[in-house]
Amino acid sequence: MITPKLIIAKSGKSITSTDPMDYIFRNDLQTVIVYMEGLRQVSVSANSTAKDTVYFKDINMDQNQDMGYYPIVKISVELNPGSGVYYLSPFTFAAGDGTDIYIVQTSASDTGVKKDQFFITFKNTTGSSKTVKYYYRVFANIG
Amino acid sequence: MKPSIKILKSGKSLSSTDIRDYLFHSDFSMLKYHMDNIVTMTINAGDTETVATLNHGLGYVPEFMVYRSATDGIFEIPDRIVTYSIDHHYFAYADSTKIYIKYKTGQPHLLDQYTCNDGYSNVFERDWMSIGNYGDPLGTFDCALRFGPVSITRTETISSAYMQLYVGSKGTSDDVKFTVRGIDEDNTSDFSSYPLGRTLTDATSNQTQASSSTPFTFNVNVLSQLNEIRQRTGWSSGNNMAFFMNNNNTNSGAYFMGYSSDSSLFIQKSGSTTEKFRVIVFKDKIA
Repeated sequence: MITPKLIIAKSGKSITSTDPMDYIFRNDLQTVIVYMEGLRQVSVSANSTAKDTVYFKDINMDQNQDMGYYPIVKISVELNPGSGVYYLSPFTFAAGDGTDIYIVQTSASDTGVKKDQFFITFKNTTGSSKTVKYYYRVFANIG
Repeated sequence: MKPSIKILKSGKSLSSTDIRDYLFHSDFSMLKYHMDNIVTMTINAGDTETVATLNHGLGYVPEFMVYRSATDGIFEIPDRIVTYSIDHHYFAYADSTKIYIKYKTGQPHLLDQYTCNDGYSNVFERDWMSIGNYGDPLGTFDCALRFGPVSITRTETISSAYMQLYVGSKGTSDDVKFTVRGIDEDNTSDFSSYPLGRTLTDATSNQTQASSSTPFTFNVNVLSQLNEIRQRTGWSSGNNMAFFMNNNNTNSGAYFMGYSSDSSLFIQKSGSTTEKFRVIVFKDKIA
């Protein structure tokens, strides 16, 4: 019996190649789907913390949904608001590293991923209010 | 009805509401590849910060990933390593023109630290650093401090070497004056045998050290003494070495003392290290 396949190889590559890098798509290799994404802005008062929470949605992007598993969440944060420079997660910065904002990870409730949400807590180390921008992508199909 | 294209995993239903059942779903995007480059970073001796960059040419801040390639594996960036209280920190960021990878360290690159593994005071004996002139009834203080195993060869270039001594208590606020020599042995044994009568290096230096509020630390340059020890024909990397300090006309009442295990030897090596990073950039925007 012949098993049907859907294979899209890169230009000049053979569809019999055994190197996954030669393929744009193969039905027998899991893809990475961006399930949810967006730019968020969070106001953080001077020398204060602020926590932002994003709830996962159902496949129709209609209702909040407990996914039943932990999706992979990737976040990039403008740690110096207004700089146009975005720092890559996970965040290893701490107080004293010199950025206006750092990500609080003192307890499990500060920054993390649950089955129905992810959340991130920002600490503003400056004496003035800051609006922190961050971009998130949720790769829910490989959670 | 909205048209859609879906590719399901084998055995899954087209009506599934579980995104994990799909290989492709036209309602959801996938990351779109832009470039995949190896970026090298040269960290020179003494550096505390180094930045490597990659031009991505997109004109906006893109999604990206960075991995550090090391002899013991591949590590996702950011990567923060704390060993022996030394904070090594690799992290990455992007703007509309470049990807940046930065290395930060709490201690200059190739500066090796050795905690004192044995100390001997002429008055307090084992585990003490003491120097200066107590006056009556204890008299003057001398001491020896031992470090190792010290990883230096007989010939490599050493740009600086110093002891950082910890002072837990002191006498008056007068300066403490002392002379420093090395113990002229290939692999100095621990101080269970009396160390203050051992043969000393020709290399000698004198230091006048101001007092400060306790606790405090101060540095003692031992480069010439260290070089004389390691240039002995019997020296091997991994041996122990020690330094002897004796009082040199300190005013009565001025002294420093502390636990020897709170003191360290620092050796600044020369040269550089090359780090390799794999940077994968996607066309998908962050901002």
